Amino acid sequence: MRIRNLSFSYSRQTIFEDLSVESSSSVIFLTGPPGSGKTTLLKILAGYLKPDHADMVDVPLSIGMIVQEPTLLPWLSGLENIVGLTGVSLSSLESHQLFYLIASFVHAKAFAMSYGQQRLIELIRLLILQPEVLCLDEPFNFLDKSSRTAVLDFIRSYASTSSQFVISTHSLDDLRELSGDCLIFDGAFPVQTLKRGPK
Amino acid sequence: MSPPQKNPIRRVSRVIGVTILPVLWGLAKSHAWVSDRYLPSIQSVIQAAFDIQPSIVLHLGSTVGRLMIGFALGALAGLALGMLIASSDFISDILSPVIGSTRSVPGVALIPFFLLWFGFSEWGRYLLVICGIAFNIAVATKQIIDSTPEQYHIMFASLGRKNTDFPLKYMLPYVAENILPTLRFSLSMAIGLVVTSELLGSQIGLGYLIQTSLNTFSLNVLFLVAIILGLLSTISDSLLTYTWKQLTYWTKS
Repeated sequence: MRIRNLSFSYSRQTIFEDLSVESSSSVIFLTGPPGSGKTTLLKILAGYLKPDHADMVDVPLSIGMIVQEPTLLPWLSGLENIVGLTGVSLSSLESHQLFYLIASFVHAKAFAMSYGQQRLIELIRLLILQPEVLCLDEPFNFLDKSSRTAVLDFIRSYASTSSQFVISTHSLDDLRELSGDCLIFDGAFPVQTLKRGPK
Repeated sequence: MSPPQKNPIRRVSRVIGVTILPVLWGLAKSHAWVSDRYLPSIQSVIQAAFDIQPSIVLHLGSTVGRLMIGFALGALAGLALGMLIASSDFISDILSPVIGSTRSVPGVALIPFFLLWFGFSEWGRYLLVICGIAFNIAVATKQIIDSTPEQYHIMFASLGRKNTDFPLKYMLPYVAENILPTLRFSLSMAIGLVVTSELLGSQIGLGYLIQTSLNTFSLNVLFLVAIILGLLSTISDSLLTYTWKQLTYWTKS
């Protein structure tokens, strides 16, 4: 991930001003207080927000993002939310390393699932597509301890081989359990530099 | 606001709301405050329901049939048209000006056109209702799809798709979740259009009854039809709301 001289503002608030960040780590954490610009940076990386100015935002074309809000279509089952929307085959899904986490409720309608179950479906739906970069906004919210450990293990093994993960989190546990670059937002605007935390 | 069934004051206020007009009507007649020329007695209105030939039930059935067919076809046409223009900028550019200008024409003003084109045929009446409501529903449908929440846009982009790639899996259920207020408004418009179409050249229906009672100065029949139309509007609106909530069952959670 390489960003050079990135500027971005909402209508009345400048968020980033000539921000430059570079990292080749397979896991990059964005951490800091709520409202400090972590999600905005993820959306820019994912191509959903366009910067006002940037000399370079060098990220691969294949990017997937998970936002904090639920994104399962509530009228579809978990299975339809994955297979029906992504086009992956049922056998691919069932052979996924994390499928066992959702096997017991994947046929239920999404509206009847807990937030944690929905979040697992969302994570697997994105992971199964194997994008080159995954931007995850507080991905471990609502997950129970065992599911969280399984997903962390998967990310740890998967990140070392193919994909790059950019993860916003306020949890220090996430930082400890996954090694990677840590970029700290201090909550002051405009953001011009990001401090590096412990790897 | 507390639920009416659990709040005794609300329960009383609802009963007052339902009964206040009949009570005032009865008082006005029993104390002879208003003459029969302006306000018929309740008894004469009830009697009219039994005297009308053919039976009031047949008139009501005809109107309800026309309403159901016209409203269902108009709603389906509006939903399909709205999804079509939401799916393609090209089609939207072509159709939106036509739809935008046509929907601003009051349905009643279209009656002469439909009389000239279709005479007094049943299809002319259905088409009047369809055209009277479909364009509004189409515009609302497009607006709902255009206001897809940001998180869904991000999700679809992450899957390499767009929201409009999924007409049945996304667009139709998402529109269904949000279009009930427009449908309720369209239903009341449809009732007005059906009755208006029956005023002209119909041989049966509540609109026909209004027309004939005007010619025969039957104020009690006019009142009867007005009461039936009020009940029809209330019951059909409740049925639509109930049915829609069953269809969009996921919104209850």
